[in-house]
Amino acid sequence: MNVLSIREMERYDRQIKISELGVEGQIKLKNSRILVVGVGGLGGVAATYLAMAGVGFIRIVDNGILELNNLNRQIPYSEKDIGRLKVEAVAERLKSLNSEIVIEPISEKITSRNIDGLLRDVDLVVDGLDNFETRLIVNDKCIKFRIPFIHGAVYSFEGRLMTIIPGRSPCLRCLIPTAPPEHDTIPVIGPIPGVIGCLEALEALKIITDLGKPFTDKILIFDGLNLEFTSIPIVRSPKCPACSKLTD
Amino acid sequence: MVKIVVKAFATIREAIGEFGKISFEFPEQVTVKNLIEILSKRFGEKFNLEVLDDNGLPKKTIKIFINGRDIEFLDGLHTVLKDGDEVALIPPIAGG
Ligand SMILES: [Zn+2]
Repeated sequence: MNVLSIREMERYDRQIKISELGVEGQIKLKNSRILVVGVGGLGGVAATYLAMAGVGFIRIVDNGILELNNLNRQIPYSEKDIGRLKVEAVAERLKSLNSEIVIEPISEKITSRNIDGLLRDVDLVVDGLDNFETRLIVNDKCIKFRIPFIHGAVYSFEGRLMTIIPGRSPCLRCLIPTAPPEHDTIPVIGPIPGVIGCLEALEALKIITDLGKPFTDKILIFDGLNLEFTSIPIVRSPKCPACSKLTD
Repeated sequence: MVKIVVKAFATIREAIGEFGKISFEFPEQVTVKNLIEILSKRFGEKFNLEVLDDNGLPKKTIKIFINGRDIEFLDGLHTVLKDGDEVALIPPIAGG
């Protein structure tokens, strides 16, 4: 698919007008395939922007059912979605925003058994997960299959972001070798996943269109209480069980 | 005098209060290990629970940076703090 329809030219007009992006960049987006793992605060925001930007195929995976306590932060849902499968509600919302792209909802818990299939034929993965264990499963397979992984996480008034280009930049396991104890419920205020989810979508769009510089080799800490963005350099761990043997 | 700023994130910020930022003045040199001990005394159980492992040392999952440099690449817990240093205590977070 190397052309855009008249309708697509109109829909994406404002971003096609970005000189670096243009029709060429838009066609790259149209032909791209992204997996969003988890569609809560982070994944819901990221998936929404990816759909609006015209990413041609978005696979969304989450086994959750929408609860009332999700609605302080999870953008794609309404009260009428309470009790529904989250992926179904998100898919409906994204299709209503953009009927020219393909959304593939999968209601499954991500495990080491199904992850290979979920990663099949995707160009990039966006992290919308809510626990360390699953993030590390996704991280390790992204490294193995050399799929860029945009990591995001939130807690309370704080957010984190790190882009991982396998073989080139540090991975999540360089930073967190084994999963620390998990929390049952994690406190968070809505704008934090809003900010980080947006930045994850931005990183994904940059990588797909090959524009700018991916946010690798460092972790961004967004401290909402003091409104400070701090970026801390991270290096690849020579002992990393996931990526230390991988070269560019 | 050695002036140090400690910036704590996420769960460690909650243990410390003060929006996670506190300043110290020491009459003599201190190491990162000394600083952790001082914080542990001052903030007690809540801090210890978030930061220390069973041996009373900072948990492996917590990253400690001095002016943006990981202490792993300095002298670890024995790194001597200099006047004006900013020490960041960063636990991993997992929310989505
Ligand atoms: Zn690694």
